[in-house]
Amino acid sequence: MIKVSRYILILLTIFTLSAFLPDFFLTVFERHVPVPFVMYSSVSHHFVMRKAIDGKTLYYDSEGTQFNRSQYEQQLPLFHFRQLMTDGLMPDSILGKPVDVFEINNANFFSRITPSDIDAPQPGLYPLFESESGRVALEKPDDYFRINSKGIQFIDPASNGIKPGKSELFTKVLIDKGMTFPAKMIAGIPTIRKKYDQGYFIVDRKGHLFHLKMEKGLPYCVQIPLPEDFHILHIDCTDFSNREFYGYIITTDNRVFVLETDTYKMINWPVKNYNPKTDKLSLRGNLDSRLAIVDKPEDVYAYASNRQYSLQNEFHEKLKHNLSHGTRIVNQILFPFRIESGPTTSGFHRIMIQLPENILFIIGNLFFLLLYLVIFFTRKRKRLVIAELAIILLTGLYGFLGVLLLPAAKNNLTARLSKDSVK
Amino acid sequence: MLKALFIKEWIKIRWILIGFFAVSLFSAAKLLLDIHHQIELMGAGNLWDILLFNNFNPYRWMEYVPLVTGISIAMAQFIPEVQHKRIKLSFHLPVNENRMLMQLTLMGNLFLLTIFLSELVIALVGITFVLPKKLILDALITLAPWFLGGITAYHLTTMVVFEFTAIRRLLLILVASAFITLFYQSATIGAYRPALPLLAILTILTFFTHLYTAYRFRKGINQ
Amino acid sequence: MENIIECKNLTHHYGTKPVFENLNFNVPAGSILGLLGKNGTGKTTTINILNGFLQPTGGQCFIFGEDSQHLSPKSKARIGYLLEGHIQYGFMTIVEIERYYSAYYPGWKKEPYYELMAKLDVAPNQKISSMSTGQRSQVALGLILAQDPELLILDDFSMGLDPGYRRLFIDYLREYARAGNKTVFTTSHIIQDMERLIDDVLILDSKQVVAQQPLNDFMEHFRKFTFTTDQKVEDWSKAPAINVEQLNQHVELYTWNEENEVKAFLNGNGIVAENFSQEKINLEDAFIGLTGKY
Repeated sequence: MIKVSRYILILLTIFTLSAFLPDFFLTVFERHVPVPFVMYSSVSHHFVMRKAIDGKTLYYDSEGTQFNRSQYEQQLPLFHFRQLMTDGLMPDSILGKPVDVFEINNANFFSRITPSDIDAPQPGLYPLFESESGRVALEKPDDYFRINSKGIQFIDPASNGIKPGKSELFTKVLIDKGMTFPAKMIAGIPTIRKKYDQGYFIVDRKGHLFHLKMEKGLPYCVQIPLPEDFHILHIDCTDFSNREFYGYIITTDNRVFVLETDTYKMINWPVKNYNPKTDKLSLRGNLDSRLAIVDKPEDVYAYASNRQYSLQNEFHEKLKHNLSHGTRIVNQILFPFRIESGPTTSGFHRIMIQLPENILFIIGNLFFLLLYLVIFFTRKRKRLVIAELAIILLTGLYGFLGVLLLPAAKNNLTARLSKDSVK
Repeated sequence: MLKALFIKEWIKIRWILIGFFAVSLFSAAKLLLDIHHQIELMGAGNLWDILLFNNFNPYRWMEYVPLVTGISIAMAQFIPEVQHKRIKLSFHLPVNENRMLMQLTLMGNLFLLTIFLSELVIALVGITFVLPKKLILDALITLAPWFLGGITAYHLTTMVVFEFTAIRRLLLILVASAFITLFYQSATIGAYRPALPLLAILTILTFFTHLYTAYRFRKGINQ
Repeated sequence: MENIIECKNLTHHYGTKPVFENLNFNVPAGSILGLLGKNGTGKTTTINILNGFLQPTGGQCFIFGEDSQHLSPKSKARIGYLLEGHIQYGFMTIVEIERYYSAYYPGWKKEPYYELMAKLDVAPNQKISSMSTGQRSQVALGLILAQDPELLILDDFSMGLDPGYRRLFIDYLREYARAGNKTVFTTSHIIQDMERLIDDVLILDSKQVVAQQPLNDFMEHFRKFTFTTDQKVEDWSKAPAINVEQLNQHVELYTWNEENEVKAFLNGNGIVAENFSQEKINLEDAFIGLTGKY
């Protein structure tokens, strides 16, 4: 049992060290990675970038042309119109039409979707707003709904009880429209601080998509037909002034769609190289174009489409690694694996093991095994324990430190001496 | 024999136990008071709103109570045993030494569980009246790692108390502290759920860690 | 006769410093053995090894035929142990502590314990930690008597006690051991106490056993001779003696040898001795004579 206790302690030590040492290494050696802020110029139809590097700010485009700040802003009149108007540099017409600031502003939208948004705990309870109250501002409902295996249930917070009438009514309508309970996903904007209410989008147990609203107290529900092989990973609802779409839908095969308002058409927004689990996605629109930017750990990809979502242009920039080449090698040699704990690329707090990127750690593990043997023989310990060597061989630095911190306690030699001689 | 051991441990640390029992109950009571106060001020609907969508965390006052409880009870239980090597008396009893050590921590676990479960039950039952199932579950997910951390801290503190070489003890404290932070990292409501099974397993593993250092203590190994 | 305790080739080091090397001794059943030695000769070390609280660097001890490092619960039930300083669980009262230990020993007899406790002047709810050292020693003694073990291992039973309590301890112990043919292994730094208690003596000095025999034998055969001489002898090492001390003209000579052998040496080396006589010594004198004053 003492041996078991010791190995448990070694295991916990290895676990702890692998959770903290790599972070500590980064804290010491990590360097700033300049990431370009990518936009698409309505003037040149090139990508224009702004990047902070070595304390300076660079402005350049995908053709390699360098700009100063003002020239950069002039490349992006739909974005910097206020500054340009102040500078007197705003053109009179854009895209053949006279400049209308209100129109420009209304057409601009921006969203950012991160892995923590996608893999995150769900509230489970949502306020269903009255979307046709006749009032200018939205009003808070006095209940919250959930959709479980029994159907949709409206709960009154004051009494913490279910409202049977409303629940039954809505449940019946949902069933009529073909929903299979419980809901896998409910997406919407659950606050009154939005421009208008479009209700919620619900993915049911079978993966079918529904739109639910409340109009004058009564349920409005439609099932939205989905294309073939369309499996929804994430829905992000928006409330942009242009009211072009209800929101974005990301599928399990990493495609991005917008759900067109009223028509419920699923329009593909061209994005490539996007991994929702690890990458940040920026989606931007204006009077001229649609721009998707994929921020990966070591790359930036940008895809410019026109307003009809037809891909026009692509851009890619490779980023510096957050460790210099040398320190990166040291990192890979020293740390055979890492335990990551916390909401890194997830809204959930996960504790997971990160396996090594390559096999350089074998060098490190062998080094620490050798070092341990050297220490062992200079201290003239009693016996080599195979389990210890195996641990160090497998876990390198972590096991090395663990075994040193927790030396073998039992002296098995005496236990094995025969007692038969003394009877 | 277990009954005798229970009585002995109870006599030894009863005031500490009562003290922390009171603190834990107070902690649960404060939660209930806070919740009801919020309902009084803003109405249940708004309370649900900030709980669901604004990351309101009324449980934050309960966060470190289990941790301090676990550490304190371990110290109260085992520092007297380690002083003057009194635990030799227990090791000399006609019981296997490892068994005795596990029985000692069994007692500690019983005390802790009583305190923690009381606190948890009062807190959860209290909020069941005013919060829906989902939010109760969120509360449980938020509280669970803190209680697991308290039990873990009890065992790791016991392990550390038995290590009497200063340098190793310091290093063990460092490693144990770092390990325990895994139970107390900041997270949004409900976020800890995927980590709970692993944390539970790790907690159970710590039940056995004191056997190693206690053996070293028993045999006077001081290297 | 069966050996209750056997130690073979016992060796221990603290770091690189040796405490003793290749120590061999036995304690037969029914003997009351006292382990004597100056500080640092390994008395408490030996007791710790016997109780399994220290792993010797070499050698082994056996109690009831079992390796002392891994005593079974059954064997532990047959051993009574007194910790140095009469250490006990002081947070309990005398009633609570008796109730606690009684649960562990099937043959527990509470009468001798309470008999002893009746002599103590303590309140029923008084915690042991608030008692004097003497009173605590009585509690420790009572618990051992109640356990009724075959073997008693006592680490310095005199420590911190005034003469009254020491005498009480010794009387009770001796009576108990003799009546039940118990085996006792004990140390004490107060040698007069040992003299009253023990039958056999085991003396450690300079990493080895320098005497192991019945006390009577030891007192009979280890002698102290005194004489005066005018000569200043520089080197007594060739003398048939364990220790010789010369203070001006007065010489004390401690030896295993007979009187004539000593006299022969003196004559043979031209040392004129006057007032030669054998002094009657007690155990303490003998011990100092055997191990030296420093």
